[in-house]
Amino acid sequence: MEGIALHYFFQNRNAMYITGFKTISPQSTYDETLFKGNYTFHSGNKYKALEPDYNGLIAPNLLRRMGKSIRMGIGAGLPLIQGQNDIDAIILGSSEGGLEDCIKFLNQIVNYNEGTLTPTNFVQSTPNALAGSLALMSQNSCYNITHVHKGNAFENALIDALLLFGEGKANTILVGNVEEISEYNFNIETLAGQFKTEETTSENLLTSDTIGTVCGEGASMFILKAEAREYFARIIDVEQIVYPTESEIIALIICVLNKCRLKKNQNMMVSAEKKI
Amino acid sequence: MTRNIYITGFGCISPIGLNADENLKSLRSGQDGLGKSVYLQSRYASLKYFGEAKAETDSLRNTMQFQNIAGLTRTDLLAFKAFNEAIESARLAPMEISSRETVFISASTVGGMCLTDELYKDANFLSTGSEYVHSYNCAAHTLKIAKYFGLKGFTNTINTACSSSSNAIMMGMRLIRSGRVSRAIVGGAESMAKYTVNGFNSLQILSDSKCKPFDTERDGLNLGEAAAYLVLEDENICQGKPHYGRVIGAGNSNDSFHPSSLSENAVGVTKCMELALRDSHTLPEDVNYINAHGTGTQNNDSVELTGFANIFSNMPPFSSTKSYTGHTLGASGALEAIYCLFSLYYNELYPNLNTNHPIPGFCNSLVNHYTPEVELNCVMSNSYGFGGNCTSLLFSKS
Amino acid sequence: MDKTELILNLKKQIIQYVNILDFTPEQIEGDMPLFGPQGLGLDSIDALELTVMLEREYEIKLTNPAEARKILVSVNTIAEHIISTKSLE
Repeated sequence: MEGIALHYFFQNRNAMYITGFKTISPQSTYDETLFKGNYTFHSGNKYKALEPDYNGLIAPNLLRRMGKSIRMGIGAGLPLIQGQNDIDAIILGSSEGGLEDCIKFLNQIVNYNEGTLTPTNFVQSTPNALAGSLALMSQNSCYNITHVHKGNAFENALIDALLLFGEGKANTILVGNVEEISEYNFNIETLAGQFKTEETTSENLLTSDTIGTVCGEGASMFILKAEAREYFARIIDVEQIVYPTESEIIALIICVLNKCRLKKNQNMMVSAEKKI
Repeated sequence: MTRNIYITGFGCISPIGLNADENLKSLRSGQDGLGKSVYLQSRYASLKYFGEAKAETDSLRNTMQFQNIAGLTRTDLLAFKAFNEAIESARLAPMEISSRETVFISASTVGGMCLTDELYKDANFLSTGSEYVHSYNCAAHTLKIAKYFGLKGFTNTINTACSSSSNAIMMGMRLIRSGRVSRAIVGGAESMAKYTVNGFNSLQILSDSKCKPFDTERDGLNLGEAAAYLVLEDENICQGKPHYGRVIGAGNSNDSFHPSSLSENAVGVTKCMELALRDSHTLPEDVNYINAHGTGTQNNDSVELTGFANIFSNMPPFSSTKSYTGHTLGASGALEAIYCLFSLYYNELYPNLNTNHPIPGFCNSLVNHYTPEVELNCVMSNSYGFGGNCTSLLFSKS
Repeated sequence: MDKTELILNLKKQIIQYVNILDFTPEQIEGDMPLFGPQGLGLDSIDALELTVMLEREYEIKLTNPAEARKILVSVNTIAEHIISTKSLE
C-alpha cells in the first residue's frame, strides 16, 4: 500500500472548522441534488464530472484559457472566496495537476518537432496554476501552496492548514483539491494496471472481485476557520504514513486514538491509496 | 519561545559539482557550469545554454549501485544521490531516518517527465507500457526515496514551480517549530527535460548565451538541473554534531498578477520578504547578504530590484548564483539555500557572474568577485515561481 | 487570397489560437485593439500564441518583441503585415 492518511472529526476539541464547501464530482454534488436522491450511474472506466455552467462565474476571457482541472477548481473554489477579504491562505492538493494541458503541450513538442510552440498549455499544465488562478481572480496575496503527493496531496494540504492555524497566522483558509481525467493519466495508469479490464458499472463496482478500479475526477473546496459557532464538522488532526505494514497501520491508528482520545459516536476517516 | 532549528547536513548535485564540496570549490573559483547541452536529446541542445550535472544518467545509476532497479529516471537518480549525501553528512542512523520524528519533504516540477519521449508514447498508448509508467509523477522520486530508505514519518511533495523547494524548507521548519516532529529532510530535484526546455522556449525567455542576472543587457535564463537536500534538526536532538547554520524564518505570498510574470510593483516579492523578516524577528538592516532569484529575464530581475528597494533602505550585498548553475527550477530553492549556508559557515560571498553592465542603482551592492573574510550573521534567499508564488527564507549563523 | 478573405480567416484563426469564447468572427472589428481591456482583452501570453499563429499559418516569423508589438495591434495591422510581407516575396 502506498500511503494512508487518517483524519479525525470531533465534536469537542479545538482544531479547524469546516464552514463552507463546494464540490464538483461525477455526482450531482454542485447543486446538492445528490442528497435528494438524484443519483448518476456510470459505466466503464471513466466517471466524468458533472460540471456546472460557468457563465457568470468565470469571465470568458479567463475561461478560454482554462483546462478542465482549473475550471473545476475555480468553479468549486471561487464562489467560496469571491468578495471575501479575509482569506488568509489558499492551500491545494493535486496528484496530477493540469494533465489535459500537459498532453496537449507534449503532443505539440512531437507534432511540431520542437518548433515554435504555443505557451498556454505549458503554463496551465503546472499543478500550481489553479492556486495561482484562484489568487489572481480573488486578488489574494496570502500564503499559497500546492501539494502534489499523489493520493495524500489533499491530506497534506490539511496538515499545512493545521500548521498555519497553530501558528496563529490564519483565521480562514481555502483548502481543496482537484483531479481530472485526461487521456494522459488515463492511458498511463491503464498501462500501469490501475483500472478494471472488464466492463463495470457504478452499481457493481464495489462488489466486483477483480483487481483494478475506475477513474474519477472533480474538485472539492473547503473553507476552514480557526473558530466558528456554526460549522459542518471539525478536523482535529491528520496523520500520514507511506508504505506501511499492517501492524504499522494499526499502531498509527492506536497512537492517534490515544492522542485524540476518541469517544464513542465520534468519526474518523481513513483514506488510503493502493499502488498496484 | 522559538526553538532553534539547525542545519546539520546537506547534499547536492548540480551543474557545478557532483557533491557539496565540488559545488563549494566552483563557487570559490568562479567556475560556472553553463554551456551547450551534452546529454539532452533536443534540437535546442546546441542552440541554447544549459546547466547540466556533469554525469551521464548511467553513471549516476552505477554510482548509486542501482543498475538492477527498473524505472528510475534522471530526476530520481539526482534526488537519490543528493539525499544520500545529506543523510550521511548529518550522520543520521537508520533508526533516525525511519523514525516518525523525521519528515521528508521534496519538490520537483518535472518529476519523471524528463523522459519526454517515453512519456509521449505511454500517454498516447503507442507502447505497451514502458518501465517508467510509475515514474512520471512529481512525487515519484519522493516515494521511491521513502520506500528505499524506509521512511515512516510524514512525507510530502510540493510543486509551486520555481519556489517549490524553498516551500519544502519552509514547511519542514514549520513542522519542527510546531513540535510535531524534531527532524526534517527537505529539498528538491529537477533534471533537464525536453518538455521544460520547450515550455520555456515557447515563452521566449531562454538565452542563447550564458545568463546575465541583473545586467541591463540580460536576455533570458539558462535552464539547469540539480538535486539538493538539507537536514533540519531541532536543537534538542543535535547537540554534539556540526551545525552549518540555522533556518530562522520564512515567508510565502502570491503576486496575484499574471500566470508567468511578476507585477511591476513587486507585490509578491516585497510581501514574502516582509513576512520572512517578521517571522524571524529580523530587521532589514540585519540582513548581510541576499541570494537573489535573479534568473536573468527582463521581468524577474527588474521586479526583484524593485522589491529590494521596497524593503532595504541600505541594500546589502546580493548576487544570483544562477549565473553559475542556471535556473534549476524545483531544486533551486534548496540548492541556493546550501550556497547561503556555505556563505554563513565560511564567511564569504560568491559573485554574480557574467554581468558586465549592472542595472544602475544597485551596482555597489552587486557582488562581482569572490569575497572571503566577510562577517556574515544573517542571509536571505529568495525564489519566485509561476502562478505568482514568492518565497523568502532567512538563515543565520549557528 | 484577397484582403477581405484574409481578414475573415485571420479572425477565425485568432479565435482558434487564443480560444476566444465570447466573440464570433463577425463581432471582431478589423480595427478593434487586440490587447488591453478596451478591445479583445488579450495579454502577453496571447501575443506569443499569435506569433505562433503567424508562423504556422503564414510562415511569417516575428523575430523581436518590438516588431511584434507594432504588428499585433489589430486584425487590420496583422493583415497589412501579411500582405506586405507576402508581396515582397
